[in-house]
Amino acid sequence: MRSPWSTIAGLFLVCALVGLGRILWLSLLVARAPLQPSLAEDFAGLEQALPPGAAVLFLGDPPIDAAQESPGVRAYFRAACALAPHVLANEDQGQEFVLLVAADEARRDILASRTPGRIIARARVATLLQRTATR
Amino acid sequence: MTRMLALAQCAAWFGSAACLAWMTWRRRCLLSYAGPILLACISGLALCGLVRTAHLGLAADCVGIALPVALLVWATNSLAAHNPPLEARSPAFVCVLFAAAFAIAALYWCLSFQHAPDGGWDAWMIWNLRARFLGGTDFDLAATLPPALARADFGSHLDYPLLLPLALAELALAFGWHPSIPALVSAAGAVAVVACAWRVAASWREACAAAAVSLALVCTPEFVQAAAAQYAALWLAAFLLLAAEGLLRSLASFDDPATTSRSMASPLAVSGVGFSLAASVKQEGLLWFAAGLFALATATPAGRRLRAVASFLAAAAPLLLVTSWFRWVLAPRSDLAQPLSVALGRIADPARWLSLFAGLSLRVVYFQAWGLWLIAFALAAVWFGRGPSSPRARGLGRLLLVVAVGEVLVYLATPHDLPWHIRTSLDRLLLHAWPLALLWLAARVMPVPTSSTPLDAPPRSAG
Repeated sequence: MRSPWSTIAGLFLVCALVGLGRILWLSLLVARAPLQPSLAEDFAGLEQALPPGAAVLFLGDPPIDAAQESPGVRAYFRAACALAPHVLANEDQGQEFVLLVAADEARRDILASRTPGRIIARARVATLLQRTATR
Repeated sequence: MTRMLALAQCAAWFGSAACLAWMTWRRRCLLSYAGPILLACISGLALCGLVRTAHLGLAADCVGIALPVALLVWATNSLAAHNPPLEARSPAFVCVLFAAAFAIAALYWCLSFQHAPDGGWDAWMIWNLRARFLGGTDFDLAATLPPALARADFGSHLDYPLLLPLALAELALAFGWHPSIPALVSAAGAVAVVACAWRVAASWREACAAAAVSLALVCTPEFVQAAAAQYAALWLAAFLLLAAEGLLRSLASFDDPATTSRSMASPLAVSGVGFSLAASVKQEGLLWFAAGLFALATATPAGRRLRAVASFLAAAAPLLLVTSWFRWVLAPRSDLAQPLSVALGRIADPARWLSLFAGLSLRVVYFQAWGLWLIAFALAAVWFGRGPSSPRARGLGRLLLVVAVGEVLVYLATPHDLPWHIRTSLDRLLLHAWPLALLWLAARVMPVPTSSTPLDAPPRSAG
C-alpha cells in the first residue's frame, strides 16, 4: 500500500519548487529595483541639529491624512523613526522647531516660505527650521 | 558605564549561546537546540531592557550578566545528564533541497537589506520606532508613549507589546544603532522558527516529518518575505512553537500512567512561558494564549485538569502580568478597542459576514505570496483530516481552531474598513499559524499510536 508520506512528499515537493521559483524570481526583482535610501541617509544631520527634548512640528507635503500607509503618514513615521526620541507633533502648538518633509527641495522651499523661521539644517528629504518668533 | 554594562550583557548572552551551540553541535543535535537557544537570547536581551526600564541600579543590571551564565551551567548539566537525541536522518534529496532553499532565502534577505535597509512598513513604523524611543530616552517607558503619537489618529499602535523593541534597544545600546541590527534579529527569528519546527517534529521520532515541515517553511515565499521585511510575526511564530511543544508533551504525558505531577509540571511550564512570551511579542499572542489554555483545559483528564491549568497559569503569570500592565495601564487604548455592544452589533451584522467571506476568498485566490502552499495545505487537510487522530494532532487542531474562531470574531468586530483590515493583516495571521498548521498535518499523516505503539517508539529512518 502506498505510504501517505509519499503523497505528502510529492505535494510538498511541487510546492517547494514553486515556492523556490517564486523566491528566486523575487530575488531577481529586488536586484533590479531602485535602491531605497535608509532613514539615516534621508534625515542625516538633522538629529544633531536639535537640542535634547526639543519640541518639533512636522509639516509634510503631502500632508498627513487619516488613511493609514498614505504617503503623508509614511513620511511622518519615517521622520519620527529617524529623529526619535524627538517627538514630532502633527498639531501646531507654537513649537520652536519645524521639520519640513517633502521629496524635492522646491516643495520644501514652498513649505518654508509659509513658515517664518531660519533654516538650521538640510537633509535629503527634510529641512529643519527654527522659528524666529513663537506664539 | 551603561553602555559597558549593555555590552557585557550582550556578550554574556551571545557567549553562552555560542558555548551551547558548540556543545550541541558536538553531540549532533544542534538543529534541535538552535531554536530554544535563539529564543532564550532574544528573551534574555528583552529582559535586560525591561530591568533597565525600572532603573533599579547596577546590581539589577548585573542580573543580566549572571542569568545567561547560570542558564549555560544548567543547560550543560542537563545535556550531560540526558542523552540528547541525534538529529533524525532525512532523505538526502530533502537535505539538498533544504540547503538550496535556505541559500536562496539568505540571498533574498541580503538583497532586500541592501535595497531597503530599514525593512518593511511595520518594521520601522512600530518596532524600530519604539526601540529608538527606548534607547534615546534611557529606557523610560512613559517616554515611549508620547502624547503626540498617542493622539495621532493614523494608527501608531502604541499599545503593541515591547519584547522586540526592548531587545533591539538593548542591542543598540551596546553596539550603537545600525539598520543591520533589526535585520539580523529578523533573520534570527526566521531561523528560530525553522529550528523550533524541526525540534517539535523531530521529537516525534519521524525523520520525514521534521525534514518536510522545515523544507515547507523555507520554501514558503511569504515566510521568507516577512523575514526580509523584518516583521515580528516570525518571532511570535517561534514562541508559539516552543509553547506548542510544551503543550503537546503535556498532553502526551497524560496518557502515561507513570506520569507524576512533578514530571508533568516541566512541559506545562515551558508551554505557559512560551505563550506568555508570544503575548509579549504581538497582541495576537494574547489570543493564542487563550487558545492554549482552552486546548489544555479541554484535553486534560478531569482528575488532573486543575493542577495542569494552575501550573500553566503560574508559569505564564509573571510575564503576562507585566504585558497586561503595560497594555491596559500604561499604553493608550488599542485601535481595535470599542464598547462591547458595538462589537456584538458588528458581529451580528450579516453584511459583515458576507464581506468577510468575500475578503477571505479573494485572499485565497490571491495566493502569490504563498506559492501553492495554502491550496495544497487545504487539499491535504481535507484528505488526511479524516479518521482517528493522535493526541498531538487533536491538541494542535484544537489550538488552531480556537485561534481561527477568535480571528474571525476580531475581523467581524473590527472598527476599521474590513476589506482593508483583511488585506493588510491576513498574511501575517496565517504566518503565525503556518508552522503549527504544518505540524498538525504531519501529526495527522503519522500513524495514530495505539497502546502497543507508544509515542516514543524507536525512530524510523526514511533514508
